[in-house]
Amino acid sequence: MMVQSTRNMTSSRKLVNVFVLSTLVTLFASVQAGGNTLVLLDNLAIKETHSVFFKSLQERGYVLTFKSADDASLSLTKYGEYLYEHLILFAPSVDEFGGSLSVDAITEFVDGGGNLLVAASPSTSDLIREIASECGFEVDDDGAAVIDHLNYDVKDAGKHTLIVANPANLIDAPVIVGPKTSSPLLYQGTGLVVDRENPLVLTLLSADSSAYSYNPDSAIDEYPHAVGKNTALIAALQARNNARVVFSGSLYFFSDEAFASPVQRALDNKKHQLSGNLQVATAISRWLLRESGVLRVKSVKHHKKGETSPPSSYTIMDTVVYSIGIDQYDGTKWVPFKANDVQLEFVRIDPFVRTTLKYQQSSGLYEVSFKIPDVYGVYQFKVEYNRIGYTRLFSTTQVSVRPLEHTQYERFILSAYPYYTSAFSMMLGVVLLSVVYLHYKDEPKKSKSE
Amino acid sequence: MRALFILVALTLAHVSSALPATSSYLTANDRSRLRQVLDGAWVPNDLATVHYGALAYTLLGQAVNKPQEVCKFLGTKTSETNPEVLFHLAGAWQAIGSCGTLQSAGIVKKLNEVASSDASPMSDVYYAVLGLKSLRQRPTDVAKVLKNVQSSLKKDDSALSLGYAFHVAAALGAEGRVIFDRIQDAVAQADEVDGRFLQFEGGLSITALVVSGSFNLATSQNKAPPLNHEQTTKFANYFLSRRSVQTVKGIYSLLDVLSTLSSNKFVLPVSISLEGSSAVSSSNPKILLKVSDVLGKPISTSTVTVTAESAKGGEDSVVILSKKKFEATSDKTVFSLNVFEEKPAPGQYSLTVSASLSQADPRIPSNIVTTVTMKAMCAVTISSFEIGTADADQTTQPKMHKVTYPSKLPSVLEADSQQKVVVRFQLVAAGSNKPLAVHQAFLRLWNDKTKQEIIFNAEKDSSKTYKFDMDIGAKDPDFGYLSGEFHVDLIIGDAIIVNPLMWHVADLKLAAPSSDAREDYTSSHASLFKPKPEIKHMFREPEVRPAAVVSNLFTALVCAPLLILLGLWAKLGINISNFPMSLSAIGFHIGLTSIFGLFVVFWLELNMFATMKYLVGLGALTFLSGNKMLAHIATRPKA
Repeated sequence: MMVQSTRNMTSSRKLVNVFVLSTLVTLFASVQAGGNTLVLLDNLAIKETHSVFFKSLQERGYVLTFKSADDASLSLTKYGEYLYEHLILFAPSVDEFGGSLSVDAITEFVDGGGNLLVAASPSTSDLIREIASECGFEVDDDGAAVIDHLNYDVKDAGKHTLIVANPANLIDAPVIVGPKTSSPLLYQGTGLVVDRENPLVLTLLSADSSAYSYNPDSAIDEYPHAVGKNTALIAALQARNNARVVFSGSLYFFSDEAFASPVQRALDNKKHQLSGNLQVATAISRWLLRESGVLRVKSVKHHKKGETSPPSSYTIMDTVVYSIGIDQYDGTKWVPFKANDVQLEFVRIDPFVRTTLKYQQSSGLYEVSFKIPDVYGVYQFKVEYNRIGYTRLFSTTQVSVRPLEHTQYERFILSAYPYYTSAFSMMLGVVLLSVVYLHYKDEPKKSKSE
Repeated sequence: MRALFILVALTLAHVSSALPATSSYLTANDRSRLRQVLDGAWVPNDLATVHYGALAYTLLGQAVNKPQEVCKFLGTKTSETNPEVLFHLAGAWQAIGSCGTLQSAGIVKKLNEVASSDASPMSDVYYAVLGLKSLRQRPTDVAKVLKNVQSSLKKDDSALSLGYAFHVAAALGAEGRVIFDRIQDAVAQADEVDGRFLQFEGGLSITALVVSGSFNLATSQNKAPPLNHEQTTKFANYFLSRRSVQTVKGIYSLLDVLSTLSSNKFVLPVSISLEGSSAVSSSNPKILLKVSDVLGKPISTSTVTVTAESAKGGEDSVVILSKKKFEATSDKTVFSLNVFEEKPAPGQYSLTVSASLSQADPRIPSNIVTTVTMKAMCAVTISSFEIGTADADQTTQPKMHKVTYPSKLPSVLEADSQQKVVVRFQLVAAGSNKPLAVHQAFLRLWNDKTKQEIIFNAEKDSSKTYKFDMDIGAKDPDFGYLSGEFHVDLIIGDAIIVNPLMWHVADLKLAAPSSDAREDYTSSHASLFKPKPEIKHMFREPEVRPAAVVSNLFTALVCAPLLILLGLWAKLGINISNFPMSLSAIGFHIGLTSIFGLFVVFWLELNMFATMKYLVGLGALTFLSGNKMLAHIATRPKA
C-alpha cells in the first residue's frame, strides 16, 4: 500500500500555539506518464495483430517489454524492487508462466500498486482464470463465448460470437471509458461474471439483454453463468491501494482488426464506418495506466471567519472557513479538479457536520464556511472523495474545539436584571446604612415628644 | 451429447490439420484497406517509408502520391554514405521511376566497397547488393561477396541472417547456388502455430524476407525450393492472417511475399474459401466457393473442377450429399452449388470440397481437399404460445392464455408469491411441421422502472415443447423482493435461424411480497461511490426567558426596599451630625464605597486578578481608617 503521509505542523509558534495538529493524509500512488510495462503474449504474433494498441502506448511514453508468457526469464522483481509498473497479459491460453512469475507474484504485484490488464478468450487457461478470481471476476467455462443472436456483426463467422456491443452499455463514467460515443463496439470472446458483493469491482461494458455466454457448439442444458446484462464483457477493479486491474473477456477487442473494422449489425442496415473500439480501448488504457482519474490534495486551509491563519483552537459555535485544493492528473500535468459533490465532514468519532464544498472559480479551491457545533472535543476536518473511476482521496486535519471561557458568556441578560439590581441596591444600602448607623446622633427630646 | 461434439471437433481438427488449401485470400477489400493505411502513413520525409511505400503502391498497381515532392526529398539524400540509406534511396528511386536519372557512380562505388569488405555485417551486404540490383548493377567481386556471406552465416545463422543471404544469393544469379542448400536450414527454424501457421520468430517482416528470399533464390537457380506444398500453404496461412498489418514495411512485405507465392514456378498455394455467406436458406439456396491463389487470381488456365465430396452435420450428423459437382459461374474463380435442394435439416454442416485441374500443374497437387463449414438456416415460427398462472402447490389446473406472435396479451397477468407463472410453447421451422430446438430460448422479465432484468432458461422436453415454470415465492431473492409490473419477453435465437426474435409477450404484475426482508436486500455498498446525505448540526435550544415586562417589574421590585428605606429616612429626618470630620472617617467611607465601586467595575470589565490587586490597596486603606475611626467612636463620650 503506497501511503504518502504529510504531517503539516503549524510552524509559526509566536503567533499560534502548536495545539493544532493538522494531519494531511493523501493516498495516491506515483503518477507519471510512461513507465516500464511488461507485455506477456501467447505468441509473438499477437504483438503484430495488436500493433495499434501497443503503438499508442509507446507513443504515450511507455516502455514496453514484449515477452512470451512462458519465457523462462520472466520476473517482476529484482532485488525486491519491481522492474515494471504495469503488466499487460495478452496470453489467454498460457498454462504456466515461465521464470518466477506466478499467480501469487501477480497478486503481489497488484498489492504493490502495479496495474494489470488481462485479456481472456473462449479458450482461457486455468491460470488466467485463477488471476481473474483473485481480482473478483469469474471467467466463464472453457469454450464458452458470448453469443448474441440479435446483435451480431455481419462479419461473424456463423456462430454469432462476433457481437456488436451497444456503447450505451458502457459504464457511466467518462473518466474510465471516455466521452460518450455512438459507435458500437466489436467484441468476440468469453463472458465474465463479476462478484456483485465486491464493491471495488466495476463492470465497464456489459452485454445486451439478448446475449448470453455459453459454448456455441453444445445445447444449453444448464443455466448459463452469464446471461443478459449480467454478462460483463470488460470489468475493472480499483483496489484499495489504487492499483487498477482491467479484465477483458476478449483479446480481439484490442486488435488492429477490431480497431479498423466497420460495424454493421447483421439484422439492420445501419453501417458504422468505424468501430468505437479504438476510442474505448485508449480511454480504458489511459485509466488503467493512471493517466486519468487520479486525484491529489494540493492544499488544506482553515481559519475563523474574518481571519486568515488558523487559531490554536476553535471555540464552540465559531464560524470556520475551510478550503481545500484538489488536483487532477490529465496525463501530463496536474490541473485543478472541478466537481460539485466534494463533501467535508467535521468529525468527532461521528460526523457532526457534513456539507458540500463549493468550487471557487477564482482561486481553484473548494471552500465552505459553517458554524462549529456547541460540543467541545477533538475534531477532524475530513474530506473523503470516493467516486467511480477516481483514486480515493482522503484528507483529515485535526483541530481542538474548546468550551467558552467564563468571560465569553453573555453578560447583560435582561431577565437577570432583578439580581444585578438587588446586588447593587444592597451595596448602596450597606454604604448608606454604615454612615447612618455609625454617625447617628440621637435626639431624645424629639423622641420623647413623639 | 458433449462427448459426441468433442469427437466431431477432434475429427474436424484432424481434417483441418492436413489442409492443403488456405481458407482465405487477399480480397479487394483488403487491398483497399491496405491502400488507405499506406495513404495515411505516406509522409515523404522518411527514407524507409518512402522506399517500402513506393514498392507497396507499385504492388497494389497504384501510382505514388505527390511524386515530385518525393523525388525532391530523395535528391537530398544522394550524398549519404550509409549502405542502408543508399539501399533505400536506390530502391525508392527505381520504384517511383519518374525521378529522372540518378547520379549513381558514387553510390555504386560505395556499395561495392561495402559488399566486398570483410568487416561488413550481413545486413550491410544485403543493403549493398540489393541496392546495386536496384541500380541494375552486379557487385564487381561476386566471389568475395559470397565468401563474406558464407562467413557471416557461420557466425549467425538466424532466420533474419539467412533471409538476407537468400536475397543476396538470388541477386548474384547462378553463383548463388552455394547458398541454396541453406533454405532447408531456414525452413527447419520455422515455428508451427496451431498446426495452421508456419512463421519465424520476429513476425511478418522476417517470415516474408525468408520466404520471398527462398523463392527468389530458387527462381534464380531454376530449382524447386525444399518447401513442400503443405509448408508453403502454412506460410501462406500465416501471411493471410496478417492482413490487418498497419506499418508500411509490413504492407510491402505482405504484398511482396503474397505476389511471390502466387506467381512462382514451383509451388502455388491454393485458396478455397466461401464467397459470401456460409449460410444457405430458402432465399439464398446456393453456396459459393472461390478457388484461387492467394491474391484471388485463377489458379490455372485450364478448367478447374470443384466437387463437394460430402456434407455432414446437422443434429444427427447425417450425410446430406456426396459427390456433387459445383457449377462454374461467370467469374472464373467462383463455383456454386445449390445445397438447399437437398433439403438439409437446419444445422451446421461441414462440407468437404475437392478441386482438381483438367491439366496437371506441377505447382499444385493433383487433388486439393478442404473442409468448409456451412449452415442451413430456417425461419422459426412460434406455433403455440401459452402463458398463465397457477397455484404453487399444484392444486389447481393452470389458467392458460393463448398469445400469437407478434401481438401481446391484452390483459395484465397478476400473480402473488403463492402462485407461479407457467409458460408453454413450441417452435417450428417455417414451412414444415417439425418441432425445432434452438440454442437460446430465454424468458426475460424486465422492470421498466427499476431497470431490473431477470432471465430464465426455458426447458424443453423430449417432444421439444418448451416449458417454463416460475415459482414466484421461491424466486423472491432474484426479484429483490420487488413487486411491480414486469414485461415478459421471449428471446429466441440460434445461429441457424434467420429470424431471431425478442417478443414482448405480456405484462406481469407481481403483488407485494409477504416477506419484509426487502430492507436487508438493498445492497449496502450501492452508495459507496455516491455523495452522502448532508448533516446539519442541531444546536442546543436556548432556555426560555421570561418576558421583558416581568424582568423589568421585578427589577423595580428589588429596588423597592432601598427606595422605601430612603423615603422613610427622608421623612424621619436623619441626623448624622456625629460625623467626625476626621481623615479616618472620610477615608473609611470613601474606601468602602470604592470597594463596592470596584465590584461594579469587576462585573463590567475587570478580571479577578486585577480586581484582587486593587482590592488589596483599597481594603488596607479601608481597614486602617475603619479601625481608627471605630476606635475614635468607641472612646467618644456618650452623648
